[in-house]
Amino acid sequence: MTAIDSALQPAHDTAHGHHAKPSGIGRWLFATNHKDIGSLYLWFAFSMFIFGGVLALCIRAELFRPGLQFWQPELFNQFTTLHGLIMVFGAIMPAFTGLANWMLPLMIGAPDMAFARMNNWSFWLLPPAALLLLLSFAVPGGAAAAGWTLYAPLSTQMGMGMDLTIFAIHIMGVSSIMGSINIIVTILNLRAPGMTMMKMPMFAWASLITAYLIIAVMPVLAGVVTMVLTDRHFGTHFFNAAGGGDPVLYQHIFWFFGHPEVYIMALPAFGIVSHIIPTFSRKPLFGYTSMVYATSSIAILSFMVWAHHMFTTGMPATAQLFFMYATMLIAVPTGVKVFNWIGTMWQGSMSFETPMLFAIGFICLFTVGGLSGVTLSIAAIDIQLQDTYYVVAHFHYVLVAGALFSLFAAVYYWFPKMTGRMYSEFWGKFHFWWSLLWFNVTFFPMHFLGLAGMPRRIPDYNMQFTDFNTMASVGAFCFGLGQLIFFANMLHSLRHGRPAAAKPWEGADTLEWQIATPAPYHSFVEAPDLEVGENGRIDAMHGGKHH
Amino acid sequence: MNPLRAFAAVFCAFFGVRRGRAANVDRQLRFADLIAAAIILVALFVGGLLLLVSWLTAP
Amino acid sequence: MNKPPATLHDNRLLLLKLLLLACVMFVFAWGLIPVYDALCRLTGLGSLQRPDEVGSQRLAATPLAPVLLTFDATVQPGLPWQVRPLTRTLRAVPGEFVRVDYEITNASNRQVIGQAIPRYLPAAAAEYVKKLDCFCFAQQAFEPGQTKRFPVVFVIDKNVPAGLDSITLAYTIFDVPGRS
Repeated sequence: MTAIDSALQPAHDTAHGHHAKPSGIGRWLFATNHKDIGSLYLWFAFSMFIFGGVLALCIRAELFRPGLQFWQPELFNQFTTLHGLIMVFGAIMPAFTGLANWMLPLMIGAPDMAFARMNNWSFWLLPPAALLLLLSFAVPGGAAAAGWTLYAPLSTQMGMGMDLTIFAIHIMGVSSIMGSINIIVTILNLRAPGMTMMKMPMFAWASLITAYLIIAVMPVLAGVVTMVLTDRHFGTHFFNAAGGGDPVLYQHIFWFFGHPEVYIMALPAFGIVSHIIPTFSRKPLFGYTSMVYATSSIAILSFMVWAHHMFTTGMPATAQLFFMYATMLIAVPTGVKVFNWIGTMWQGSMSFETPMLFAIGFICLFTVGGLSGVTLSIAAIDIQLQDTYYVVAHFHYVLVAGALFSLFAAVYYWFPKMTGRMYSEFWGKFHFWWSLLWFNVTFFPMHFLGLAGMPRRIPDYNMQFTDFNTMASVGAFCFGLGQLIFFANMLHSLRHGRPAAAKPWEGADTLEWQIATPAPYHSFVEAPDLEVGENGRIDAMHGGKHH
Repeated sequence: MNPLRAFAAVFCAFFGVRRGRAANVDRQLRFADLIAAAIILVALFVGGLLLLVSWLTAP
Repeated sequence: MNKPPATLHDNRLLLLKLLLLACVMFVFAWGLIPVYDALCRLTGLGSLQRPDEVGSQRLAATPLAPVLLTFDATVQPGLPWQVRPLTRTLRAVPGEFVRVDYEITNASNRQVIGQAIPRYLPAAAAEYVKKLDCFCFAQQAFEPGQTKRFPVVFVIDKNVPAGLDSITLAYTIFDVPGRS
């Protein structure tokens, strides 16, 4: 019991233990400071982003020309599978958790996350999980090659790479559940006086709702991969038709997790954009209350639409129509959000620094992805487009131009507060325009490929698809190269950037901009008294101590 | 407190649009009322869609 | 107006509630198995293999005209099969059991596995040809040069529309690669 007691020590108790910054490797290994853990998450996510990106370039290199040039089909399938798994569970989700770790306590006036040592644990579970995925390339039979969805019966038949993948998913699931518990308890219990729920910053709202989604669906994913594991090794027949099971059952359970997962990767992005757009429009967020309600609406509806991923499994027309209409209804709250962002920019005195560029890019391209999503939701059309490149184009528009662009926007936006230095605005803008151009060169032709019938997850293709594939491959390599600009900009600015002001953005009005830059190592050791407006706007701050 | 207020709040959470003033009143709602309203509205939502669909697919 | 700051106890209570929620959702995933099972049974969604029925309403009412049946088989170029029906045509009254034999030869010098796919002309006739036994129900293995005879047993449904007086049943044989 004492071990649990000490693991659940509230943050300020441990903070009082040692005011000084710990140094050396121990600072990171035994990190309990939310800023250190946030940084760890972000660095981990970036390295996974590079790793997943290299896998993506391996895929695009093979697809540059028809025929087999570089990889055997088996290895190609491993690349597509691991690219998906690593980007979803290794890059996007940890990056959002990292940002929440860094920014939530600063935004709501908390001294740290609620359970500082559990926070350490939830981060340090991630590297072993990533290592398991990496190692799986080296085991007999190679890594999992069933696609990131790990559909049975493929996943029940593969080599031991699949076992490693299943364990990695278990570990990452535990990690994200613990991270989510921390976020929820922090937001619900540790807000500074005056920071009420309906005044809270949108990023806090989005993180809160996302955390609930994670707790609701990650255990379902853990459950279904456990069933795959028992089918593989313990003689059960959950998904084996010969033993009385049903492979379609896997898809139902998986997508019960899978669809909310889509919003786990999108809602925090909405939260970030809901800060950046008002800041650089110098206007309060339009329709804050509606934004909160729309976020919860998307979360509720996301549990009722899972079977739109399975229109071709032989569902009766009644079920197809049900899921089709329910899916289309999600466009309503999402549209509310897009209109609110546009309403925020309306008649604002806008300026276009890098975070704002990425946020506007996010709105434009996410809407394109949303629109192709509505197209896919139509059951009659989906039967034609299922498993084609149209689907690939759709989800890369919402995940790369959606989640990833919002992450870039967030990193540029909060970089001064995190490091005390400014990034290079020129290279930031260059990074944006470069990414925007090559992103579209890469993924827009995939719409045409999909409509023409090119299936996804194949290493070779018909001659007629050559031109668009070549285009996409060139775009992908240029896009990947552009991320090195981002990396170099960050590394250089970390050391040599111009010192940043406490409030580098004129229109920024949330709590994190009220404290010194860089943020003090132990911020808000004593909670401040706040007068707060909507979307976390600070009207007055009294007290509040930092070390 | 008018019991219909809980339904109004949950309905707005479905639709995604809510006035700031109304949301301030929503905060005084009891959690149990909200859950009950949510379950009833979800059932109505699913039932309504099913009705629409069965009407459309009727021979 | 402000509520008192949360204590360590409050935090732990919330932690336990959320952990409980995670556990409930894990159990829920396993609970979905019987739920889907019951749902499929109730709605009949899962039963893709339903027993077929042969229509018999018109049995006594009107005398049925015999239907002209033609049997055919094709092989895609490059595949090692030789297929021929031992009966080319016959006339059958709907409701009568019909048996015809097909002879399939593996003309290559290797082991092959074949799968026959039936085709009907006119295509609308498909639902009135009720096959009771057919070599197309399963994959068939052949030794090099082996010849096998297979029966097809079927009934023409008595509900066959009056205008449909000629049906062609054609088989195409495909290779099943990667198995031996």
